Amino acid sequence: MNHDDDLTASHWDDVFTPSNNYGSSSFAAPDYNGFSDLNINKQPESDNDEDENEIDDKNDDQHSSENNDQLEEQDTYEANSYNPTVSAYDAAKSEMDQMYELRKEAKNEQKSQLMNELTKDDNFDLENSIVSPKIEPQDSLFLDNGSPIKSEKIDTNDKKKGKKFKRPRKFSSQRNIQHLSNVGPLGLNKSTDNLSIKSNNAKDDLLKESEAPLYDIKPEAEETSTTKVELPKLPSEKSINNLDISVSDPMKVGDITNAHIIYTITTKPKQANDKFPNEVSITRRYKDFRWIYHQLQSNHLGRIIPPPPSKQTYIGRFNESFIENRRLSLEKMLNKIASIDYLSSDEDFIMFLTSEDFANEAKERERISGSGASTQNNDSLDNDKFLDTTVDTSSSNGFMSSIFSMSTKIDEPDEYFENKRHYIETLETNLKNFYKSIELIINQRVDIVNIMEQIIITIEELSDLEISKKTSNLLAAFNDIQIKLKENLDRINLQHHLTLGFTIEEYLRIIGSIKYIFDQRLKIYQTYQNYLLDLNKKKSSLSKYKSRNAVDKIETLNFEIDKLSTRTSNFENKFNLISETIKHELETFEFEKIDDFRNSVEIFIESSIESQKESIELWETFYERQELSKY
Amino acid sequence: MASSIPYDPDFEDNNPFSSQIQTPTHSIPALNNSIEDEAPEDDDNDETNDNDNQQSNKLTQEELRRLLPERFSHKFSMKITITSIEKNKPENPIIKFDASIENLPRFRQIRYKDIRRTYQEVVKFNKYLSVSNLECFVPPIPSSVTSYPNGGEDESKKLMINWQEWFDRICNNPIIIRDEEFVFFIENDFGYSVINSNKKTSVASGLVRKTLKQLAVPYDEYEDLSTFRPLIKNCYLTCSKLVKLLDKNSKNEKLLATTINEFSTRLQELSKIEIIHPGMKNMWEKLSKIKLIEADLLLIQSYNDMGILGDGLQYLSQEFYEIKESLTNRHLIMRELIQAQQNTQAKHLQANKIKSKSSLDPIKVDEAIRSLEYATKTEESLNLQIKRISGEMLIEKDEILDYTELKLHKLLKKFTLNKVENNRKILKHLETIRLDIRIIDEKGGLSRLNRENLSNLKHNLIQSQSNNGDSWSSRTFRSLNEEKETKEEVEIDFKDEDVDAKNAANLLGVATF
Repeated sequence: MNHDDDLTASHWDDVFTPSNNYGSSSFAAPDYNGFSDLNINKQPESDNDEDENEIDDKNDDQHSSENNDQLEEQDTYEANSYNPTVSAYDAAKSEMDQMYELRKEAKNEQKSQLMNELTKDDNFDLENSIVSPKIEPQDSLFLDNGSPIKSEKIDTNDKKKGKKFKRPRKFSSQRNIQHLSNVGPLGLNKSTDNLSIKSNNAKDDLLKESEAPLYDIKPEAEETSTTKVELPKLPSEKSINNLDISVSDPMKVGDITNAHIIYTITTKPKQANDKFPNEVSITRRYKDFRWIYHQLQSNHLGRIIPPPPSKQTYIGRFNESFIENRRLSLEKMLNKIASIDYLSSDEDFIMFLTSEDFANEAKERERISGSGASTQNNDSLDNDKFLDTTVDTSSSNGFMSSIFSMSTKIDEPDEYFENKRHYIETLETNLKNFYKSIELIINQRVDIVNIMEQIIITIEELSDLEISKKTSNLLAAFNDIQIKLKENLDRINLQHHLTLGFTIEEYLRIIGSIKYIFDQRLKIYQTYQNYLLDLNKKKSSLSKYKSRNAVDKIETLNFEIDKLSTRTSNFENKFNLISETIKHELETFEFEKIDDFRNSVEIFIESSIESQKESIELWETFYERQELSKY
Repeated sequence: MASSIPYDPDFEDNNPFSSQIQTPTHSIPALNNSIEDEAPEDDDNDETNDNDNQQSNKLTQEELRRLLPERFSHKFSMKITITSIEKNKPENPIIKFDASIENLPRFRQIRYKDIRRTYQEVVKFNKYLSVSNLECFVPPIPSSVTSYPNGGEDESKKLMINWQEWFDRICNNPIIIRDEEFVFFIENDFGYSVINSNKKTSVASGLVRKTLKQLAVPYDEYEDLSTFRPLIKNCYLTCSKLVKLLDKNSKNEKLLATTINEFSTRLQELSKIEIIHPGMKNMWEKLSKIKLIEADLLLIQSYNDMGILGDGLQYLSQEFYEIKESLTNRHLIMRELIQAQQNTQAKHLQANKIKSKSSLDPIKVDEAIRSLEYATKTEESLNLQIKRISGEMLIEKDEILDYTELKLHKLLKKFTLNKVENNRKILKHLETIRLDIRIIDEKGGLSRLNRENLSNLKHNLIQSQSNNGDSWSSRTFRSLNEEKETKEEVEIDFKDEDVDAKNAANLLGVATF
């Protein structure tokens, strides 16, 4: 990372564009605001570490007092400079930070339990990964990590740190812990060594890959994994999900004008933990799920966030099966989020799971982060549209996407994304068609079940007529079979709906999330390009002035160019970062896709097999019992 | 009693004519044994009649013999064998058949070959039969089309079976084969039209019939028959309702089959864009293939369902309708009888009036006596007709019930076999792709159930339908196998016999279900 640029940036940001710090929370460029602010706040820490002569601002004073933490600060810095999640807090002014520090202190107290819980998770993961035999020889420093004693050390280290970080800090303590745990026990010694960290990261990546069995069989995955060595640090993706989240008890509340359904979310830690209260139960409504989704989207640039189910038209909102469906989707969404480390440790997410006063806290956090999560109306999420529209789905994405598609006209710097975008879009179209026809099948089966019901009634009437005793018996037995077959069909229909139908629907929504991160990336790219253009202009004018020897103008221009180039490089970094993140995310997406679809297809097939067996059995029994072979 | 309907007993007592008739009815049976035809004793019909007699106590064995001589004669028989059904205009195929006659009067030959009758001709013949043989439940003719795909092998096979069944039933009815119109139907060389058309028309038709049906049902002394009509009527209504529902169901199934077909195409498309992972591509392709097969099987299934159960029930409901109409005809004749009785009563009163007059006009007396005699004779013939109809219907009622029972069993048997076969096919296909899904990656899917080290992905992939029975049940018996075996046995049996042309035709025509 480019430290010199960052240093200058901190000054020039303060001098030139104070307005940027009060990030206007306009929808147009929330990312931009988030990132520029990130720099200001981040910079002083690196000052603290590397250049004691720099003039410190208030924050630095605070931090310098914590000398024993300095090395960790370095770590934190590393983590943050690579990790886009920081924007949530850094979006606000440093004054604001102070105001909130007191509040945070209290919060941290409360949350440290949950965080500890989560970091424990990390440790566990790391231990496994370190012990795993796939350590590369290049990381000679880590070769001895395989010994159990050392991995124990990690544990103790982390516990100490977890307690220390209860102090008011700008950065949530869990982030430090998380990073530390990734660095390992030797991290403290080499924290100043960028290179070693990089190799460490690379190793982490490799370890991660060694953990995932999927990587081994995919030839293509092998290729991408080599490119990923250059990837900036990414926290390990998967961990054993320590939280057991269930969404239950949908209840209708409110009067006619604002009637809505509230769901009870119960969070249970899987492992007994004395720090974590046994169970947390809170109620949330659908709107809140959307809020957390958007909040996480803006907190984690370039990440695919598990999306909530789509909105429903006003009619049928309180339909029983719809509510049940939605409940299931919401539960799945939360569990998916909780199974991803960097999302499950997100403060907003924890707040979402624990806060008693959600409405106000949500507003506050939204204001801090400037995400505008509550006002965002990403139509990629509300893909229920596609159910109404005709076959031509590619053009049915409405006004919003037409704006996005305009923005895609910018020259795409990376062919990979061009291909991926195309792939995702065709995948979406195909899945939509897939979903439509499976929906159609399900509906037609429902029709058949209805007719079967009438047939059953009629056969019963016929059997009651008692044409003869034998016929009546035969018809009654036949009717029994029809009833069972009807139930069978009904069951299998529901099962298909819940497996394949559900998975496809979920993936359509995930594709919405993917599209969103593509757009995020493009927006950053656009800003970057604008700055670059600006910079070049300034540079050319500078050379013009230089030839004319206009000293004062050269000076101002130099300032501006300095500042601009910092920004440009910042955005370039951000752009590269998000690109890499997306690449990585897409890969994970592919693996998850294989897993999810394979599982649902397997259930689909197995349930079909079972239902066939049942039908055969029914008919065979009928044949035997009624002694039909005589006729 | 002269009339089946009891009325004013005073009148009965005073009526010298009715008592006159009454005596012979009771004395005749003794004589009747020798009249007409000799009747063999060991007869199924006898047993059924005995039962009837016990139930109704109205018709004695002797009475029946007198009223229905045809029932007790086994001298006459006729056999018609379908040889082929030629395609003609749609709705009007040409039916070709051979006939062999035994002892029936008026036929000039014993064997007739290659008789050709169009569908419409048979329809006319059938219509005539039902009108002229009021005492019989004339089976309705089968439809000229089936629910199977038009012109297919299944359809022609089914039509042959249906027609053969119809002819068999017609020929097995001793009353119908005595109908002289049958001679014309068999013997006419070029086409056929009803010759005796002006002899009899239906009892009442159109608006009159409708109006008469609205009236209260006349008193029926045969309890079996009086309860039979409502039963048959309900059966008819339920059956036609059921047929309609089945039709709807089959339409839905066909629609579903097309949707699944489309679904398969979608999967095919999806597999094309699944370029990243070959396993996924393979999975979608296999799934698509299976779904395509499933769609086809479902389509065949829905055709078969309708062809077997739908058509069968459709025919039954037609049958019930015809029976219901025959029973209505009987009611109408009973009403005629009541009118005749009233007429007789009126005439009798008139005669009495004349008798009581002081001055007797011989012309008027003659006139009154003649009209009284005429009315009494009409009443008597109607009474006999009713008895004959009732007696025959009591016999045929049981036949019909047996037939319905048999028919339903056969239908459901065929239906069941078909379902089993189809389900087994689908199951077989489904089971073939299980491995394709599991081998997508090393995880091996859900079947592994968290057993990390389970390396054998094929551990439970054995086809569940082996020769030794189905893996999911202890049953070793299989309907399909058994059916095949019996069929083979039958074939072997037939091979032992010397097969001549007639025999072969018999074999081909006989229903194989």
